[in-house]
This record gives sequence, C-alpha cells and structure tokens, in this order.
Amino acid sequence: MKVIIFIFFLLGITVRPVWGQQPSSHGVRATAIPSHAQPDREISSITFLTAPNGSPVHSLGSDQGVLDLGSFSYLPGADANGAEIQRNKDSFSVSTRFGLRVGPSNNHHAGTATVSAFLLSPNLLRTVWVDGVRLSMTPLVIGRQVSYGSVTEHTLKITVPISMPAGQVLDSIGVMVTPN
Amino acid sequence: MKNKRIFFVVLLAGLILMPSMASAQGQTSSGTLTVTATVQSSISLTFSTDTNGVALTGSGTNVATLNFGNVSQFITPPSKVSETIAATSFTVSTPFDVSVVKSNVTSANYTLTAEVQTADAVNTWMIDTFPLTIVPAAATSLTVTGVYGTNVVHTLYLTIPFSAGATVISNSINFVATAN
Repeated sequence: MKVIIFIFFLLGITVRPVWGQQPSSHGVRATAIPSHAQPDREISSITFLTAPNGSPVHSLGSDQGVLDLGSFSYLPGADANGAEIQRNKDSFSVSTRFGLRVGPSNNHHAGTATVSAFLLSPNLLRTVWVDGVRLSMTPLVIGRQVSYGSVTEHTLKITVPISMPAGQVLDSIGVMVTPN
Repeated sequence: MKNKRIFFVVLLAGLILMPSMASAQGQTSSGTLTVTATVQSSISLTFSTDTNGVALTGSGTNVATLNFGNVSQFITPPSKVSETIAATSFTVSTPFDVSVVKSNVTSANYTLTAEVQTADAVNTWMIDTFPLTIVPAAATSLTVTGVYGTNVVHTLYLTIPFSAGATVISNSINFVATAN
C-alpha cells in the first residue's frame, strides 16, 4: 500500500509539467506539428478544395494549397476566372469561394474543431477577408463547430486600392485547426 | 483492502492517461493557402452630360451620342446649343464632359486625342480650339496634360456652310486617352 502511495506521489509530480506544456491556441506560426502526434495529425489535416464556381485551388499536398484568382483589373469585363469583382471609388475587391476540409474525407472521427485564419506576412496595401473577417497576423476564428471530414465553403475577398501598382499579388493565409 | 487497491489502480491508470489526453486536446494543426493573382493596370474614359450642354445619350459610359437637334441659319438653336453666324457658314456648339480614371498605373496625367471617323468634305468638326482630323490622318491632340478623375469640359463645334443642302449630319468621333 505504501509503495502504491509513493508511486502515486511521484506521478502526481510528473503530471503537472505536461499540463504546463499545452500549446496555446493563439500560436501564429504555420509549422508542422510534432511527430509524436502523428495519429491526430491525420485527423486534423487540412485540405483546400475548389468550390463550385470558385477560382481553382491547386493542392500541394497535405495542408498546402494555392488559390489562383487569375488576372483582373478595375475595368469592367476583365473579371477574374471564378471570381467576382466589386468596384468602388478608390479600390476594388475580388472575391471567390473555396472549400476546406479538416481530416480525411472518410473520417468518422466524432467531434468538431475550431478553424482560425491569419496572414503569414503583413500587407499594408491590400486587405484580405475570409467570411467577412478581416485577417491580420493574429489568428481569428472563421469556424467554431467544424465537423471532421466535412467540406465547408468559405469566401475569400481581397481589396486592392487603385493606387497600388499593377503586378503579381501573393498572399499567404495560415489556417489553424484546434480540436474542440 | 481489495477495494482500496482497485481504487488506486484506477486512479493510477487515470493519471497515466491524463497527460496524453491533455496533449490531444491542446494540439493544433495548421495549413497554408497561398493566394495568387495578377493585377492589371487600366485607364478608362467616360463621356458625361455637361451642365451647360445637351443631354448625351449614354452619359456615364464610353459610348455616347450627342444630338444637336434641328439647326439652321435662320431659326433659334435648341436649348443648350450655341450658334454663331459667319459670312458663308454657321456654327453650332455645345459642351460635354470627358473623364479619364486610372487604376493600378503610375501615371501623372494623360494625353487625349480625337478623330472624325467618316470622311466629311462639306462640314468642319472641331473640339475646343482644335480642328479634327479625319481617318486615316493622325488624330488631333486635345491635351497632353489631362487630369485624372475629373470631368474635363470640352466643346464640340460643327460648322455648316450655307451652301450645304438640308440633310441629316452624322459622324463618329473616336477619343483615345493614353497614360503618360
């Protein structure tokens, strides 16, 4: 009996540091998760998909995707492929839809996850929105009860000022999944 | 004694499992969606009805029609049409507005040219103080320092000789704005 209590005492000490090492859900870096979590890795993997009538999304493997808005300008009639352009006085916005799936499509994992999005690099000229949420380098929630394995559609909008020089637009959006 | 052992075994198992449960709940995964696009530069030209000019059909677009109405040496010109009588001809005129806006282009101002599209050996066409050339001659320069984003007033003059027979006069004038 004393031996068991002693073991219990020792384990009681070791449990506390484990709690203290829980990663914060407000992390910003889009780094791969540690290898010791590989079983959960597949459950929480992120797949970017082309939405119906949306701009094409090219998958670059697990957790990576490229959404191609094509070429567009302020002029009417020059709408980008699969995107809509809204013209304002001093800027214009291009918006499209894309799909997002957490976990594999055949996933039977119960429960939900919270999905957050953020910009990987600051952009002073353009503003980027996902589902009406203006993105910054701090993760902001775009989905609170996302089921594993199901595809959710999201709206991306980029606002470009007419004063911005023409050229290539490149924005990287980090998406973070936190199990509920 | 046996119950106590069972209790401690269960407690011990719970403590062993607890670290891994805590780890799974706090674990996040992340992905990156790269958004690419090409913003093209553009300028656009629109005609607008001037406060002191005749109403343009298609005002606010880049294809407009200006109708002087019925004009003659001996009758009062229509509203907002001015008429001057010379020795062998009379001239009708009216102002109209041209606006050129730019988007995603580095340009301080613009050059504006105009040119009559169909040969007219009888009448004379002029904008502001510049007699218009007729295709295929080089277009007439109206300004080389046009200001973007403002309605610039221009006046169209049509000179008709007394010797010309009564008829419908119709022609097209092509305007070209070029970013400097």
